[in-house]
Amino acid sequence: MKLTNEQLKQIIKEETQAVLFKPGLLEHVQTRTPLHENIFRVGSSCYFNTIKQGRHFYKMGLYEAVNEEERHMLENTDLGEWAMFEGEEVPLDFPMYEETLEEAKKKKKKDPPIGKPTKNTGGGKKYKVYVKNKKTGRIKKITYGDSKGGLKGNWNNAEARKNFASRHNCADKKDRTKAGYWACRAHKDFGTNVPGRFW
Amino acid sequence: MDFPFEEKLIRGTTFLREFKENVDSSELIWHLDKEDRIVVPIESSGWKLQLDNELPKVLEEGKRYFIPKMTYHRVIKGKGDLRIKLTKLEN
Repeated sequence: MKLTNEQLKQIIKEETQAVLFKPGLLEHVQTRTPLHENIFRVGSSCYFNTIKQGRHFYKMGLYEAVNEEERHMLENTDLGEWAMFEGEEVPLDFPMYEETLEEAKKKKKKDPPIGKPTKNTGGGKKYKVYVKNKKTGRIKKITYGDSKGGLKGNWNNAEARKNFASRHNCADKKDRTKAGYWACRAHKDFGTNVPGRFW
Repeated sequence: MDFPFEEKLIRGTTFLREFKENVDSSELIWHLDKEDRIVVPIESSGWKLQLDNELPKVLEEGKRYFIPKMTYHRVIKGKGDLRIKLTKLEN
């Protein structure tokens, strides 16, 4: 049996993947699961490592994106990377809940840190994300979402979703360093069973 | 709170837990428990158990699986119902 160049390339690629990829990334390849639907728990160390490794091999041409959303994540975000922000190591492009002052107080009462100075948290917004400005290389903290209701509102209601997207011009929010970008996509990060994009 | 399974006490801290075939996968969420647990599948076809930072493992009937306390884990849906014997170990 004679192999074509393409078949040979594919075999070499698969063999290289089997040797170089960690088991998590290999599982993604074998099951054709995009990295944004990560097999690991969102926020776990393997979650970040798999995405970081995926991007590394994507740039080398060894890992292929399954769909457009994954390609966008690998090419345009820093998800999987960490950076220092105000003396703290933070995950980039990873939306998180912003602890409000009230929640911080409650927690403090419950479990007071002993002999450890802590920063005052708060700021009135519900979510936060750290992003890297590609031009300046600086890390920026973005907070978004009304702490009292707001964004969370009606993600599961199609009409409300459409109105939200139109009210906030979600289709035009493409700058990751702006709160609007993240607010329009918050349902993907914090919603349960909320389908795709609103726009 | 609604759980995606039905449970019956067998004895002590051992339960018979049943996940139905029609359970919605989105209900099988990552969570942690405050005590160590041992799981023995009684009926399982393609169902998996995944511990935090590990790959999913296929649940084999009769085999023992240990879930350490305060370790995130989840069940991944397979075919048919899943029936397990679950023992919650005393702290």
